[in-house]
This record gives sequence, structure tokens and C-alpha cells, in this order.
Amino acid sequence: MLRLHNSIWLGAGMLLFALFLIEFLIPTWVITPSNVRKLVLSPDFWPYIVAGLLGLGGAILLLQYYFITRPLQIPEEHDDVPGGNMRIALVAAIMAVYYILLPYLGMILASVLAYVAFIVVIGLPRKVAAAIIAIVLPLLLYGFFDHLAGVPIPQPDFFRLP
Amino acid sequence: MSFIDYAPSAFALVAQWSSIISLFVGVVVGVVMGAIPGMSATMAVALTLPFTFAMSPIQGILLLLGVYKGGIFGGSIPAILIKTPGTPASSATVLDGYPMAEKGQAGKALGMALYASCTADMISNLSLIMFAGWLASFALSFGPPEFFTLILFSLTIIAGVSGDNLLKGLISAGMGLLLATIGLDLVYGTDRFVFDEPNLMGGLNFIAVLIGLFAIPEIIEYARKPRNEETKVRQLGDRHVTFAEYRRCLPSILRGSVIGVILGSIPGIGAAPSAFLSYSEARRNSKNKENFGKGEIEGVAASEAGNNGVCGATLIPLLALGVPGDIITAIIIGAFMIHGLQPGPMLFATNGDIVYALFMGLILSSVFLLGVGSVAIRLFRFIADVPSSLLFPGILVLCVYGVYAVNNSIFDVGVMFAVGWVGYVMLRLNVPAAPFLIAFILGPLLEDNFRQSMLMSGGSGDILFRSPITWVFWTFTVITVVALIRSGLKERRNRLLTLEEE
Repeated sequence: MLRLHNSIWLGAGMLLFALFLIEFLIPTWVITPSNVRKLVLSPDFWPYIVAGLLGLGGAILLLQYYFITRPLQIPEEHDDVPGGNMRIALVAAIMAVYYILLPYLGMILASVLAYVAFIVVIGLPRKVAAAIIAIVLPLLLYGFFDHLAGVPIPQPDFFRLP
Repeated sequence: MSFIDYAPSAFALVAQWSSIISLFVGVVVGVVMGAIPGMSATMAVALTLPFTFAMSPIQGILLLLGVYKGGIFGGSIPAILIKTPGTPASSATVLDGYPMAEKGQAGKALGMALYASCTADMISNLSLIMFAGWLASFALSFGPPEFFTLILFSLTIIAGVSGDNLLKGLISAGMGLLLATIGLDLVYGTDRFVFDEPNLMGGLNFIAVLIGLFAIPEIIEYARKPRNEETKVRQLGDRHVTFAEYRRCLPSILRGSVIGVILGSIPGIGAAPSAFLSYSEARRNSKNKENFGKGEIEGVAASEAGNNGVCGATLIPLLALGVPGDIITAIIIGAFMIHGLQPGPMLFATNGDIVYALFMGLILSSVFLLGVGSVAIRLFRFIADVPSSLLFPGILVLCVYGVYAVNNSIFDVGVMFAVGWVGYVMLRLNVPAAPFLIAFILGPLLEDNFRQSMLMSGGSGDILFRSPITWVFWTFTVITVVALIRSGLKERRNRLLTLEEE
């Protein structure tokens, strides 16, 4: 499979992102009042400068790759791990579900489930200790934040701790 | 008002049991977390930050400073005993520390690491006390153009030296600056990248961004590549450091401390380069230079003096100018902001008692480090046994609770996850995260000072060159860029020569 150098990914990605910023995101999502007298004081001046910086950085990175990195055959380390990408996808799913479930299950139950799910993804090491920590850690943190720090930790109606 | 004027009220603040206990707990937490392979001092400070919300400013900031100091030393314990630096700053300690451990002299190496750390830490704290107030009173004469050029210089140097590629550093800083523009415009109050989401009107939560950037990528990376937990911990041995050995290493410790103070006070350099420079200078000047790399105690002393000499000095630009010198001080600036304090020259005038109380606390932290470090060295076997497989999912849960607690906002948890994935992509593409975070913090200041300058001058750029101070910072910025480009070209030439020889 063709494998692109990191500099190409980053350079091309930044260039495209900068174009997207300049052509769409800034004109649409940065509101500029009509009474702005000086360009440098406009709310969109700074975002345009930053977008230009990102685009320029991306373009130079691409040039640097074609004129320096490639001719000099600078090697790039590829750190592939069997099943690594699958585990990354599963962690992404855990985080998404964790975030979605927080308002419905409350922070304690959602955290217990997230901890257990993470342990399953990495191959279920030390099952008993993991099960104990999965329950005790969210409860301890609840105790600290809710009772000591005065932060109301979200809890569902069907499961409320004092 | 001077130190003498503030001393009684500052002493009253720091002499409370709650302040002393916060500092002590901070040092213990820092040493333990720094000593756990896979954790770092940065992550330790970031994860401790949410626990400071309910504390008073002095207790909260002392707790974080304790974690910082303890974390930097704690990293040297696994560096010596299992050849795995707990923090990047301890990488140089491995060079001679682990060979000493292999010879059965781990106790001696760790003892010297502790004494060198405490000595350098004390010198660094004294330099902070001597120079920060002076620099702050000088910076009181700065106006918006001077601050704009100062922040621009700081960002340039941080972007340039944080990774192995200036461009990647600049892209990282650009991303941080872009993220900092989210929210209401500073002058006109209009929306910028709010996307009709009310939660974005106040901008992104700093804690969510920093925890997302520094803890979440490590958790994802651990899931991708769960580490082998079989570690071979070397025995301490029964040999300890003698006073004669400490005296022999003292010139290297003092040299390393001075290097740490100088490099620490320049934004962006950090503890790891300081440790390596101190190590190489010690080797160059030592009578035993041939022993370096084979288990030379002076090498351990120099490395540890170099990395701990940075700790107090990085607070000089933070407290005096409001510019964080590295990632950890960028996190500590967050603690100041949470408690309604804005680091910078005015802090000395408005909250001088807190500043000087922190100075006194820092001196006390060196004493605590000596005691806690001695115990931690003996207990490391238990610390090393904390399995990463149980630790990392726990950190995930801790991050969620901590970020939620800032504003009682589940939206912030989503921001943390989103920034975490951005941070993970950056990690895989070797883009340094430090310029991102520091640009995110300094971005509003940079833009605000730029626009204030433009308002003052009616839109003329000449104001950015109005005083010798602005010229000095422009010159430093240009020198930094030229030096970084030259170093890149030199590397290219060397590579070409190697290719030709092959």
C-alpha cells in the first residue's frame, strides 16, 4: 500500500484547511460589523492572518519535503502495532458513547461503564482489580467533587447517591 | 512596595497549616506521579489542576508548584532504576544513572540525584526571588506595542525549539492562535466561529483544551500500544553518597544550576535541553570525562542540577511578564486565572502578598523535596508496580470529572475529547503540542495588544517600532528565526555529506 510521508499529510492538510478557512469558515462564521473603519481593527483580520500563516506553513512544509526531505532520503519511522488501529477506533467509540451517556446515566454510572469498556479493549488484564477500581474510583471522585468541592455531579433520577 | 513591605502578610499566608499541607501533598503527588513510567510531570500538574478549584489561591497554586517540583525529581527515579525516564527532563539522567544501577550503586545515584536536585532547586528559587520583582518593575513601563513584540518573540522561540522542525512548531502555534479566536470579538463583541452554539460564546475552556491536549492523546496511544508491564527494577544497593562525593560534584551542580536558571528564564527552552547542556558541560570540564556514560556520579549530578535548575526560573517570565516559559507554567497560569489572578507586572502591585508567599513556599518545597524524595527512593518498587492497564482508564475517568468540574459543563467534556483527538493526530505526525497550548493562552493577549496598538496609532504599523524595547524584541525574533533556519541548513549539509560518503 502506498504510504505517504507525514510532511505530505500535514502540509497538504494545512493548505486545504487554510483555503477552507479563507473561502468558507471566516466569511460565514466571523461576523464583521459594517462600521469598521480600519481593516486591521476588523474582527476577521486576525483569523485571516492566522489562516494565512497555516496555509504558508503547509505550503513550505510540502516544498521542504520535495526539495529537502525526499532528496536526502531522511527515513521515517513507522510504528505499526497489530490491532492498533482497531483499538483506536474502539476508544473513539468509547469516548463518543461516554459523552452521549453522561446526561442520561449520570457521571458515576457512565464512568464505570467507560472504565470497564476501556479495560475490555486493551485485553482484560487484571480483571478483579479492574472491576474494583471501575466502581471505587468514580465513587471517590464523586465524593471529592460533590461533597468537598461543592460541584454538583450529574446523577440520573433512577440512581441517586446522597 | 518591596519584599520587606509584603513579607509579614506573605508569611501569614504561607505559614497556615492548610498552605503547608497543600505544598507537602503537592510534592508527594508530584514525586509519585513523576516516578510512574508513562506519566509525566506535565500530566501530573494538568490532572491536579481541577482539584484546586475549591481551594484558596495560595493553597491551590502551592499544591501545583509542589507537584511540578516533585514531578521533575520523581522522573529521575525510574530513569535510574529501570532505564525509563519518568519525564523527558530526566532523559540525560539515564546516561550515567542506569550504568551506576547496573553496578549495584543505584542508591548512590539516586541520593546524588536528590541532593543535586534540591541544591539546584534552591538556587533557582533564589534567582526567581532576586530577578522576578526587578523584571516586573521594568515591565511596568511596557505598553501594548512592547507586549505585542514580547509575546511574538516568545511564541517564535517556543514554536522553534519545541520540536524537531520549525515549520511544525509554527503550524502548531497557528492552530492554538486559531482556537483562541473562538468566542466574542474583543472590540466589537461580534461572534467569531461560534456556529450558533451558546457554549462557544465565551471561548473554549482552557482546562478542557489543556487536559485534552496532554492527557487524552497519551490514553489513546496507550490503547493503541498497551505496554509490557514487566519491568526490571534494580536493587538500591547499600552504598550511599558521601559528603566528599557531593563536594567533588558541587562545581558541576552549581554550573548546572546556573545553566538551568538561564535556560529556564528564556521562554520555550525547558528542562530537557538544560539537563543535556549541563551534562555535556560537566563532561567537558571533568577530570573523569572518560567515565561519563559508564556510570559517573558527576554525570547524574549535572543532569539533575540542569533539569531542576529550570523549575524556579521558568516562573520568572510567568510572574513578571505573564508569559509562560513552558507547558507546565502554561498550566500554572491557568490556576492563577481560575482564581482571578492575572500574572504579569501588575500582579506584584495588586497581589504582592500572594507572590511573595509563593516565593516563601517555593523555598519550603525544596526542603519537602529532600524528605519526600528520600522516602520515595525506598518505596519506588511499589510505585513502579502500579499497572498502566489500570492507570490509563482511571486517568480517562479523572479527566472527565476534572473538566466537568470547571464550569459544571458536559459541553466542556466534549471539547476535551475533540481537542484530545486533535492532539493525538499531532502526536502521530510529530507536531509538538507545547506551541499549540502556549499560543492558545497567549493568543488573546497577542491580538488584544496588537489591536490596542492599532487603536493608539490610528491603524499605523509604525507604532510597533516605537521604542528601543520593541526593537530589541524584533531583533531577538529575527535572530531566533535566522538561527533556527541556519541550524536546519547545517543539518541538511551534514546529511548530504553522509549520503555522499555512503
